[in-house]
Amino acid sequence: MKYVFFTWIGLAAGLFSHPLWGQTALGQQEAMQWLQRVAGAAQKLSYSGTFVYRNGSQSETSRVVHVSSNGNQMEKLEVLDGSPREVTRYNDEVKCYLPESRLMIVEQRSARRSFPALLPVGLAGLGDHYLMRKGSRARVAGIESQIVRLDPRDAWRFGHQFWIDPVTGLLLKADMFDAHGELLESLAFTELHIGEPASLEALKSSFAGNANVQGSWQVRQAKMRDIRDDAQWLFRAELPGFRRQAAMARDIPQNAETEAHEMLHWVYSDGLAALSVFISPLRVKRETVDVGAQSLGAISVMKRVVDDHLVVVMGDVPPAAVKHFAAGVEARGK
Amino acid sequence: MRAKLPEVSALLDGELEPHELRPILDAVIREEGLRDAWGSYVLIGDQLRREPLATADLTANVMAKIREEPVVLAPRNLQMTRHNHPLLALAASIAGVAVVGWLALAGNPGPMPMENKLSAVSPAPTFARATEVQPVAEVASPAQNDMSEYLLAHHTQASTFRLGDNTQGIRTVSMTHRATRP
Repeated sequence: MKYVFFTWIGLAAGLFSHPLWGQTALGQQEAMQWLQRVAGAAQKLSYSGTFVYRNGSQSETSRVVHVSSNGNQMEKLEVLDGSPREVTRYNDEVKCYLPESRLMIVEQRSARRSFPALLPVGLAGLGDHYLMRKGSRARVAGIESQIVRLDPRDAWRFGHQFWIDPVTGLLLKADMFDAHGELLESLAFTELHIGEPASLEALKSSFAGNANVQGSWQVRQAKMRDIRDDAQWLFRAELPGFRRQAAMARDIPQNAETEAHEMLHWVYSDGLAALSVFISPLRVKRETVDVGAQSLGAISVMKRVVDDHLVVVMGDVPPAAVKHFAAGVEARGK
Repeated sequence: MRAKLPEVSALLDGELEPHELRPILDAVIREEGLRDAWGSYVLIGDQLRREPLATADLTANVMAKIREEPVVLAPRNLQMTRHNHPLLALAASIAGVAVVGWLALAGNPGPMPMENKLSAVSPAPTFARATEVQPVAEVASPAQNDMSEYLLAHHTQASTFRLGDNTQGIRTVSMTHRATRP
């Protein structure tokens, strides 16, 4: 009797799931094509506009100017609310101006890890970990946009919804939500102009000129190199679909918990979400280190001490994911 | 290749000492990536100054002419002062592009010590130029910058599929700002 029951269950599942599966696969494919369009557009287009970033209860309006010229990507982001802050980018060099702290941070991004280069690998596996669907159309920044939604297939990642300009492929709005459908983070253009700005001076930071820099600023520049031999550490609890994208050693200045030292940094991504693992030696007694989990908006963080090293795992993934990953970090031979 | 980009930048800025010229010139001639970088830097400089755009394949033109002019690499010329930079003069004249601005820079006094540090990570001479900020130290404010250091590194290095690269920038500046608040 038991076998008959399961046979009927199997038959019913086969009968009903097959057409549904076909429809889902088609939807996945179509959604994937839209995402591929977005990937190309972000790299090729020049545009400027204003957009709103919402993170929890906070929101900020920012202006962006992005110029793509002869394969070079130039960009300036300017926060319009609250204290003035700017980010400029020339290809892989990112400069972050924090005038309130009188601080400029220079970060060099590795070219092979940059956004479009990651896509062929990243997008290919997205369907395994997200249910992708093409949705309806909705207006964003005055443009009738196409909605594409990605729901996670497991608990290790957040969901996403994208609004895409059907003409240019540019991403007009992006939401990230948790397992309960609660909005974690949102970016949306409120005004957008496709094409180069009237003056490329718009790409320069207003804090970069002598006239705007009164007194002295601190400058923190990350110096890093790719590493191949990272056999000292084991990651026993990797997350499904997250593949290692980069491994590097960074020179960091002294802070409260570590000496000025080389910090190891690994980047993992499933093509959509990203997770960083930082390991650096401890300077203080482990009892005094502030370990545990915390959230910074949609970014989950887990800190723990392993073999007299501080391990920090962070990413735009659920808290359970960073906890799981951090728990699997071990010093080899310990 | 990437490690030499700051030197290419410094070359265009006229900031290299005479004895530093030969190795980087050899590298530019030898490595296609550096030649591309050279062309890009010149082109971007032109655009930011709103000067006429160079032809599409600036690098090829410049490098072809450089190859035809071996005298440029002769030791005697390399001993010239930065006020009369042979390669920049050659590039300006033969490529017909506006490298005049760079030549003018070459006549500037020598860089301050900190400028050297900054130019070492700046592949874009005209983009938030190193000379425009006068930092005093690279020391982070200990407690405040704890998470900001990690956040910035994470956001910059982690490639995610969200509003192109803009998302990373705005998340970086927004979250870093909050993390550095007293």
